[in-house]
Amino acid sequence: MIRFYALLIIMSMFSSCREDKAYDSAYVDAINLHLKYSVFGDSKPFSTPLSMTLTNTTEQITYQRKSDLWGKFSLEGLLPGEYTINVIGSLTAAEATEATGKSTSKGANLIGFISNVKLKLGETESLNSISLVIPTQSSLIFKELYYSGSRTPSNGSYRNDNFYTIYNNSDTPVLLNDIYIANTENYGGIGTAGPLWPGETQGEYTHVYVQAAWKIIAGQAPVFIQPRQSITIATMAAPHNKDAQYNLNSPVDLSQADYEAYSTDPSNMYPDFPAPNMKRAFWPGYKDLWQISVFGQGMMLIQASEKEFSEFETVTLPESFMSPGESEEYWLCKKIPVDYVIDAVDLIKNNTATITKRFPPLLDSGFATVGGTYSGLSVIRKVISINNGKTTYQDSNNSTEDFEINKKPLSK
Amino acid sequence: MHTKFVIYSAGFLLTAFSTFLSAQTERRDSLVQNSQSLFKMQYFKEGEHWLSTNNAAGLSSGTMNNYSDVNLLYKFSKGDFRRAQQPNLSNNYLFSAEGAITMNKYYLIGGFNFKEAFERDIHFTSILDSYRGTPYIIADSTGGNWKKQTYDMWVKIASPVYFNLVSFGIDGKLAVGRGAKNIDPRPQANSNSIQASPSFTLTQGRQLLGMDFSYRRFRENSNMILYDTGNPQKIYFLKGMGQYTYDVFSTNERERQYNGNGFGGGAQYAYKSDRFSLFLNGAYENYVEDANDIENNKPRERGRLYETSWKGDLHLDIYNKEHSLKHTLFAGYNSIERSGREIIQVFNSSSEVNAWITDSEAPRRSVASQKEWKAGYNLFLLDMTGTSYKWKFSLNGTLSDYSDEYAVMNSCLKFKSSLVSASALRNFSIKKSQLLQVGIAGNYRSVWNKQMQYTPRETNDKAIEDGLIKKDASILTQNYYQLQTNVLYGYNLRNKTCIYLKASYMHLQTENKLIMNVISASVGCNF
Repeated sequence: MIRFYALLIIMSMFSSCREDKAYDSAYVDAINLHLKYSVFGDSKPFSTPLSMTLTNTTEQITYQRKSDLWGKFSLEGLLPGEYTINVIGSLTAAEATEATGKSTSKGANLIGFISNVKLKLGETESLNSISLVIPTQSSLIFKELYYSGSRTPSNGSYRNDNFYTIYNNSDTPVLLNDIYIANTENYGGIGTAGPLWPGETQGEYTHVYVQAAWKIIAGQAPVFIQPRQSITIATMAAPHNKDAQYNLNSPVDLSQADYEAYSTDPSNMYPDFPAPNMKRAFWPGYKDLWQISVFGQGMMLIQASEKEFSEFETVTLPESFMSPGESEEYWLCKKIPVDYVIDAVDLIKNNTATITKRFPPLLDSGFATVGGTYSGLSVIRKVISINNGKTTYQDSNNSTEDFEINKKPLSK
Repeated sequence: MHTKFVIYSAGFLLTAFSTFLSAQTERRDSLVQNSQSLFKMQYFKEGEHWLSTNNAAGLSSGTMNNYSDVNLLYKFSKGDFRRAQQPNLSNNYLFSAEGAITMNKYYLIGGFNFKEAFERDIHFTSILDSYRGTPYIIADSTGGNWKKQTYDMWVKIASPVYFNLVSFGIDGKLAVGRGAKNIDPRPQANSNSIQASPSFTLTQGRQLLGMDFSYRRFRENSNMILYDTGNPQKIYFLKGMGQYTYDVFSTNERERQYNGNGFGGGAQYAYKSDRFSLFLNGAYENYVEDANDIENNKPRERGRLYETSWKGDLHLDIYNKEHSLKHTLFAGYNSIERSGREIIQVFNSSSEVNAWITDSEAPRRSVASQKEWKAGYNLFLLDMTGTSYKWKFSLNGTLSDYSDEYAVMNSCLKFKSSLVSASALRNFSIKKSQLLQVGIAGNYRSVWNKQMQYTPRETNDKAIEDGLIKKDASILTQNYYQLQTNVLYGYNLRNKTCIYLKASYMHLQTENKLIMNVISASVGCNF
């Protein structure tokens, strides 16, 4: 008994030390950051300040900061956590010419991106690895993406009405025959970072890992998309909101879609609608319908010949990431160098789920989201200008800036 | 979990039943009971201050009243004066068995309770008791009706006084609970807690000095299940004072686990003479509870609760045997501080790790405290036996200081309040075989120095702000009055067993006309 009491006394004394001791500050130490591009921020000031978006993915808080004209940021009052950081800026035509050494009549965007930045209490972080680049721009871009599905009249869920609109943002026709539309993998838990693929560095991927890819033009005859024209690709080219057997609450009628991702899988009980079918180029785990997650996935346009596409390596996820219940085919991905990707949009669950991004900043330094599921909303690119009936959409390679929510999909 | 539940339940039943039988046997053998054993039991429980401590050893110095009581109670409550995580209507069925017995100079007292509760319209919680202290609760936006079952047992054992100097005691508590909500997302919660407090007292003439040490362990698991995965549900990971992160729950199941351990101790001093008795009690406990999730089969630490509580009581009982009076004066102080330390984990997606790892910790994010100063006076007009009373008048007051803060998001709720209560209770003996008890009580609560700030996490989602935080602040800072009355009728059988019926009614109304009504009825047997 005496031993028992002695033990309890010792345990009580030990336990009295269990305190939640605080640091001097609840915020991380102030970070001073200086970003430059060519001479700008160094020997010359930028003409407009740089803007920085810091997303604390742990706390789901977003901070907006602006630099001075020399590209200097003073970052204070940040809570600890894991961050993704986006920087955007702009150069006038004259500045772009001076910075690149190439004469141009257009201004240019600057982007910078870094992810998986861990800011801790009591530790000083420099963030010097952020560098500014001018993103490459392509003629073909995603104009509108509808992935979140809709509610049925009985409040059920419906996700057969997905569509993607591709737009020629240039003044010259573009050949569609070597264009693929594809989606990235979304392995792992919803809301958690995806697997780190072998040979890659987090946030600096040199490849994209494709789960499914469709060659838009199935045949060999050349098909062009004219300047300032768009095509619509439907998961299922059905009159969704016109026919009660689909979903009268769907926001779209896709019976006039230009192309359909028709699956020949025997489980597909839906008819083959009149829209021309795309060619399934890669989809090892194919099923009845090609549907990306209602929480979003990375969507991309790939430009490659059929030979090039066939030579892209097929890889499988390292076994340690695999979870039971899926076939071996489910874990197969096409490993495609980023150079072949002409446009990419990271679709994610909400504004703070940036940890789930798949694309490196070179392809998309931001993300687009409708922020919900079965909402009947799409994301659509912002219009920069309309001159003589020619609409130019914003394409800064930062989807956060380039896209906005469209409450009436397919209406613009 | 199910096996544990069965074991605990069997343990409860066995212990309760054996105490019950022992008490019966002892009664037949040695006890001489008067016709007012029920009132005697009540008076004993109200006046034995050691019962309210964790020091069971001190009971050896008291009157060691023996009794048995079995009770079946139904309680119904309904009203809009309720916090968001409380029901607006509840039906409760409670069975309790309680007994005290002296056996070979050892004094045993204990009880067993089983409660089944049907609670309607509870929001923003996935655990059995949302107000037990943790700020880390997974809340959903749908709310719903809960069905809960709780089993708990307590026992206190006091040894005889050895060498006129020392006695030992042990206090034990065991509680098991389970409950579930019947609408997506459906939490299924299971909890169990155990507490053991060994103690001793030293006797020197009329004085007693006691000490106890306590260990408490708490576990709760809440499995959240989504039957309709086609309808993902937004869930909020509450962190204190309405701050949260959120997720969309779309998979079949996720789990939240709570593991807590507490150590504490208490010290008591008692003095007893024919004219008066003095009782001093001080207690301290340090409790730490971890909240972890299982997400996609991967464990993730969320936060750690640190809880420190202090308690001090002073009781002064003055006896006037000439006039069969007893005056009791009481003063007390309670303090509890809770601090939430958030564990910042990041997912390492390399194939070597592929798990959540701790990146850093954010201490004292959520800090809540509650301090109470209490004082009271009771007047007992004792009956001829001196072991029960005819009248009891009480006047009590409590001052409270409440603070709940999440400083980094400029969110806080602070207020001060007072509660004044007065009550009167009359015990009647009718024709020696019948008992009647009538009681009435009234409370008035007033609140001042209200301070409320809240920084929303999301501007486009007001669910937590309006549904939880503003509602909670509104409820907690209301002035109100409360009236309560109870009636008990008992009939003594020839074998001196008392069968009794009891009914009570409570009505509460606030300054904003919010109300809460509670009705209860019970039938019991005391012997």
